[in-house]
Amino acid sequence: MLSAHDITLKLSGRDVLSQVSIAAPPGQMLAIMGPNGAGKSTLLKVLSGDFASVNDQVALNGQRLSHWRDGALAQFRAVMPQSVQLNFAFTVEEVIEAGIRHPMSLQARQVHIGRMLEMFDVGHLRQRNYLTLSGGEQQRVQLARVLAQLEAMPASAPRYLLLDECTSSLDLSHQHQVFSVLKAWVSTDQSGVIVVLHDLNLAAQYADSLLLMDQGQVVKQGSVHDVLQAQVLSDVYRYPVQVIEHPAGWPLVIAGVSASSVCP
Amino acid sequence: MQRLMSSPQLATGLLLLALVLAFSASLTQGAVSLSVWQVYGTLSGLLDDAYAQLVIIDIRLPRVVLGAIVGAGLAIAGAAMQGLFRNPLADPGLVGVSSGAALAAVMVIVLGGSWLKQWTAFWGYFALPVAAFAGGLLVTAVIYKVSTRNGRTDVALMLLAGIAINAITGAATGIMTYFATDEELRTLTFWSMGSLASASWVDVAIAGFPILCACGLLPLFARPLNAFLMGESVTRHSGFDVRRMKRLVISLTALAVGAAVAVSGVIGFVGLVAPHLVRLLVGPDHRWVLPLSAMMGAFLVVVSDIFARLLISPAELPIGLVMAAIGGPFFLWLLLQQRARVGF
Repeated sequence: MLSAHDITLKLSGRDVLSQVSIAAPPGQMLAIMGPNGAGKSTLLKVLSGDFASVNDQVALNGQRLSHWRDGALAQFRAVMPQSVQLNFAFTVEEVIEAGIRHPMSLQARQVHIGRMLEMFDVGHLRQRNYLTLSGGEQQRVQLARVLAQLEAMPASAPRYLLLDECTSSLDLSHQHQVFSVLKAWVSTDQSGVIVVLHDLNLAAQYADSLLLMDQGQVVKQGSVHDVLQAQVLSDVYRYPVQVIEHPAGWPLVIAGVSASSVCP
Repeated sequence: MQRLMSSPQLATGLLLLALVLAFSASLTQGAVSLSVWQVYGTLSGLLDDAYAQLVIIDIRLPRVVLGAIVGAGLAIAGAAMQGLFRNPLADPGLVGVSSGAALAAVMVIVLGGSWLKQWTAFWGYFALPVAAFAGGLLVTAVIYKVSTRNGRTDVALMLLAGIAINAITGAATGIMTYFATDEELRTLTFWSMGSLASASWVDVAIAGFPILCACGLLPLFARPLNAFLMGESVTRHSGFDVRRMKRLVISLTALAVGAAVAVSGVIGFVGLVAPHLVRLLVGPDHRWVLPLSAMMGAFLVVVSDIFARLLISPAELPIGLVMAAIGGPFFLWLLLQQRARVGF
């Protein structure tokens, strides 16, 4: 379990988060959603331990973050930030390797890196200069890097991936490919994934539970069907939204049409 | 992948070979020309030539060894600093670390008999190198503090802070010249332009220990520095102790630069050009960049010193001038080449 309890955070005089609590159980994918500036990324940073002042209120597998050592923590949670700035011409392989602290034999590392790259369909880019890749390719390489960090050694307890808009530059098929991979990892590994996501329909299809935020507060938390309600979404996004049933059985959110105008 | 050497091992071998050739050239060439046999015969004890022994053991060898040590120290400090600032422009000379160290050294020279009497009395022979180290450390800390916000280094701020610090130290050094005697003035010029002319085995001992420490310890941080190129939080999330790494890398960098400046004055460009050349050869992986930069820096300084001694022989130029005269245009040429590449 990765959880944060009653987090209130002020940054430069402004309340960025107020009384936010979140719990991500193992074996589930949790999506954090909400309009720009709602505090989604900040909440993800709180969960990854970036704000030392609240580390006492965040717990990973039953132990407060303030009691974890950096090295041990890295075995149980990995973080993919919204953007990674790199000025130096690393190869894709070197990018993955740079994030792995755990010592491995040369051969094991080669195999490990290859496996992770293949998982996100970037195996063919292994020797390429990272800086010459497209935004979407860079994003898939970063996904491979954070998963490679966790998978570098066998797990003794649930592990957590924290991903901030990890598919924002991906094309349609790769978006679904990435989420399928993550979903499979969550269920086979009994690990947790927490994603900050803008695409409501991706969340509807893949997430096990949702957390909807607005202005630094939690508006609604629960299952996909509980949270994706036309009225709630229209209020939070200040934009008309209609929710219908997708033929495959999950809610389908259609924006730009108010619920009243379309109802038959 | 645009890298000149597909194998870092090959690059290491070639650099070692180049270093041996540069050593040999430096030991044979000079106001008096010696043969390769005279040099290696004397060094190995096979040749008993009192004159060659005097020239080699007492004059040229300490100078070449000192040049190599200073070059290695400046280059590895440059490489580490560029990793820490996540920017290939961070050079100890450019951001003012060298001039901070030089100012401290100059203060000890000029004020050692008056205001700083207690300092020189306490540290004795080490008053100057310790002061140079402290000056370098102080400037590094100031630059890092000024140019880093929210864990991100602002390059423009870093370079501007460097310009400010170079101006401040330049002014302070200028003021020192008014208090200096003629003899002290000559020493001051030496500091500001850099020279290996007065190299002795004592200098080798003074600079050797701290720089060998830096060359031995900095590569231990190669992996966190690699992660650091992707940002401070990425490094921490990958499990590295970022605060410890930053503290130690900053101290070791200042130690190497301070020691180099203490014995040879300000020699610019080595810290910038050497790591850059190494990255062209083998890419930006610090596990190779740090040790190879040290070798490349040693090579560059030894070769420049040969030119410094030969160009207007029997007089000689300050090596700092030679390095800037060769390094400047060369770096411009590199930048022109760079435009076609992506990343450093």
